[in-house]
Amino acid sequence: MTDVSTRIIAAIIRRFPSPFRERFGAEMLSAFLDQRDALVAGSTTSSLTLWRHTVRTVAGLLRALVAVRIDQRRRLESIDPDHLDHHERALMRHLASDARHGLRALRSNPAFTIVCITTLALGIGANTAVFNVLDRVILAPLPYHQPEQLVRLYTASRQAPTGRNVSRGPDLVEARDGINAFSSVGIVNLYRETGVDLLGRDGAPHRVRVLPVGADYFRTLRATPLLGRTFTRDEERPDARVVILSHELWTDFVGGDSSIVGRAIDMNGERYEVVGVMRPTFSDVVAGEVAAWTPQDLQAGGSNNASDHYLSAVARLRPGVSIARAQAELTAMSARMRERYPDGPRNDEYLRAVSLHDDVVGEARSPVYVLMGASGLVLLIACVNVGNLFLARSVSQTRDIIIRTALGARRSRLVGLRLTESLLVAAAGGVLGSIIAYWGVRLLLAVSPGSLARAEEVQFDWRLLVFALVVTTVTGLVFGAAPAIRATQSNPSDALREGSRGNTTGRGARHARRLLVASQVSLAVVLLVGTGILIRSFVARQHVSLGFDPANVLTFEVHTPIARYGTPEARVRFHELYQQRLRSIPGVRRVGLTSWLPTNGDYHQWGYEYVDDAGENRSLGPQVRVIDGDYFESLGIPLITGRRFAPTDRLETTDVALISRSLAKQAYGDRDPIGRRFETGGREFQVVGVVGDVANEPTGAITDMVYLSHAQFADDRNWALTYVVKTTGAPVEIENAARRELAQVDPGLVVYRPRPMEGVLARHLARERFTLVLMAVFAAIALSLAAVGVYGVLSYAVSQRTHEIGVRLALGALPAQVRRIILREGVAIGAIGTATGVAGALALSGVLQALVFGTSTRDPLVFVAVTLVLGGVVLAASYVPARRATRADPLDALRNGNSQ
Amino acid sequence: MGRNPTRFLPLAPLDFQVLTLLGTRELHGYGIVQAAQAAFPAQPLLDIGSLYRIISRMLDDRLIREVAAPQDSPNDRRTRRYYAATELGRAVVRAEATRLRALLASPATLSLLSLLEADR
Repeated sequence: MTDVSTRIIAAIIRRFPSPFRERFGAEMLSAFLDQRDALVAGSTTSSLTLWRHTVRTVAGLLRALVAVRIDQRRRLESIDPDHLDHHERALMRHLASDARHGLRALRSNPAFTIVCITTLALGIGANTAVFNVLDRVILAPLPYHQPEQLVRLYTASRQAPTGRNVSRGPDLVEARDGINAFSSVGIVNLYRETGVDLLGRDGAPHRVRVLPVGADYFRTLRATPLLGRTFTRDEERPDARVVILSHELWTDFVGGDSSIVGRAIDMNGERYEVVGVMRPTFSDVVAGEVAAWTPQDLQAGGSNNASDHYLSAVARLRPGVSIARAQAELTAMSARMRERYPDGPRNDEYLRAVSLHDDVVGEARSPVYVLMGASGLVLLIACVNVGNLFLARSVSQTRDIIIRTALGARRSRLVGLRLTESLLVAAAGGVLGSIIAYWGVRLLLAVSPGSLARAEEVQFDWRLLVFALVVTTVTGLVFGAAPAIRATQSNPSDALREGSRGNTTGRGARHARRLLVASQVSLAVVLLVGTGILIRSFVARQHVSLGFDPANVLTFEVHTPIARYGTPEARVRFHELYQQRLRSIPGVRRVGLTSWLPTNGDYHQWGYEYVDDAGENRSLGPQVRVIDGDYFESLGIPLITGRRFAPTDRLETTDVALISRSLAKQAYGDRDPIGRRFETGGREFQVVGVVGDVANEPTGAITDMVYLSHAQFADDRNWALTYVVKTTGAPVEIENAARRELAQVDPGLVVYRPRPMEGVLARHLARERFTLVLMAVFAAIALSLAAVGVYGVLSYAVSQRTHEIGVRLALGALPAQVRRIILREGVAIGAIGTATGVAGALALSGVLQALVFGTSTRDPLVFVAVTLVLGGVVLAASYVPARRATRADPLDALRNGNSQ
Repeated sequence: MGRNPTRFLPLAPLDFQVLTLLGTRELHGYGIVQAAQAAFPAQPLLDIGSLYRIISRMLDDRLIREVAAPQDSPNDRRTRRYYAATELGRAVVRAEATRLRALLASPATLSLLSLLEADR
């Protein structure tokens, strides 16, 4: 080992310019040896330490070498421009001549060059674009100070340890003051209804999001206000009328007037004093776009009782404290809370801390990683392809190399020549690839509307170019080095002898090329299988039964501010009036309302307390929806038995409810549920009807459902309702009419978030479509590159075997026989590639698990289809050269075979 | 050309280390590396490449000079030249140390440090 590292060091020292080398060369080597001897003498030194020492010394010497050369050049230029170090001049001359030679070689074969550059550009571009998204969406830290200290708090239970439920007020207040692991806890109320309709400067009302937060919220995120102050704990009361404005609201609605602090603004008909304005750089990643913040009521009692779950929190860990330690404290706290509130409803629950970064990035992680892997495969295929082309060319250049070797060219110079060429190609591919990446990032964002968390933060930046540069260089070295080394390794005399016979040139290289193409085919199989499985999953998801008809349905929210709609009667009257007006719009068929749209996940999960036939008290936990008007008719949800709500079901009449089929079955089995009584939300209801099940999740998963009538249940709270309007034509066409009619009823209200129901569903599918489109693009690139590879190898084989083929034809072989020889080679490559590819895809099938729905990641149909597709492509790619082989004129072939 | 020591200020950290060590002792190349590791453990490692670049520059600038090998120098075939700081070199390193001390003692630095301390 002495000698390898000493030789490396000595070799580098020799590269120093002569005055420096003569002065210090021997000393430097001595110092290195002294240092190493000292290391060897140390008892605990391993050979790894010695190598590390060598590597560190090499790095230092190389840095110094560059610096010394620069120093020297500066000094020489100031004294005598012609006085360049001899070695340096030789090196510069070599580099320049290599580059010139490389350019000339590439220009002389433009088809080769264009194919190489395009192939690499696709690979590099795809990787750089996907990496950029990955970097911004997943790897980048949250836009807060020391984001790794931030955690999100959820309520979980022993039955559901990965639960992400909202939490009770007392738990979070206790966590804020009683958990040592947290330096602060920002409590936040993410409930959807917290918005206001503000009169904009355009004179029309706009609905904006208002987020009620605890006093420590901003401190936890380490955000300071631009103007004024944040909230105090005294302000965590229900009657506090203070507000902090976002920078955007401040500029858009207040006109950026700094004297606003201390003055009052009108929100929902009440006066709120502005106490602060946040900075433009503050973005609320927990809640999304927030226009203003108000204090959250955290007084004990009221909604902050032991059973009301409605709050959420972000906490900051003390420096150096792990999430695990915080979790241990939180778990211990839950025992304390059980003692304090012995009759809380779910006694096995506790607060759960999750890294905020993981929480925000969440599900976007898996598709981006899969895409990163897929684009990596594409790049690998591109490298293999280009390496293959270079290898093919290096065979035809063998004689050129042999002659140069014979004339005394050094091996290092010859390898350098090849590497310069491949780096030139890689550089061109890198430049083109960066352009593709630039547009690719925009394309990625265009096809992924809102489906990736934090996608709005993605933009093209310089680090991306650095990434492209690294990928380019590595690529160039990978595909360039192998052929270059191979080309110079052969014994000149063997190579000359082999080269003299046209039909056997470079047998080793031919095997290598077949192997490369087979590996290309197998990589393509992996990508195709992945794409095929995603397509199956996508199709399965689109054909999932939702239990309702989303076609021609417009949805939008209308919020009734409590200041003007303080009584249940007023709210019922408003919604009835507005429904009537909507029904009068031409093109409107049905109008209904609901507190939460289907497929949007859980919303209100309440208890369903009933007595079973044996007289036992039972409890279920269905989802509860408050509806009004023709909700079931608008969405085509069938009535199975009993009746729907009727205009006679009023605030003052018996409370009635409809239940879903699955709930009826769960609670009453096959017996008639009509007329049964149950309790929910502290009131007793009578079942008057059963309706069909609807999907609660976009995957089609259904949940037990209870429907209450808004006309009867409006006194429970100021419900935020979503209108569901069935139309005869395109739903967007009635949007403006709906706005006009609302202005007639109450000009201060807003048609908020109008979306067709199909759009609501499409949003859920957007991420899948996004992943699928990209995978399909990658698979298509892979497949065409594999086809090009097979075609290239076989064409080359045919041209190399012209002589042999001529002999065969002359001896009476039939064209079909000759064709079969070539086809057999193609089929062999295809079969080996497909077999290894299928094995690889099976091995990797687990990777896709998180992205797949309703289909197996080892779906045999996909594997068979991919094998057939590839078989067809390989056959097609082999057929062309095979046919060309039989077209050869035996005489020509015999005459010219030798000169190939 | 004036021989004013302040002309060389501020010193790069590695230069400061080398010159400080050679100000009190005569050392050869590896001796400097060893002494630097012992005297400035928290500082970036001094590697041989950087060391000889610094030595070359300081010899040219007459901050250090070559001295005769001491009696106890190991007697093998390896080349070891010994260096020591010149009068000018010692003046320069003293000036740099004074400058650094003044910098650290300034009220602005102290208040920043106490803020950082409090944060911890």
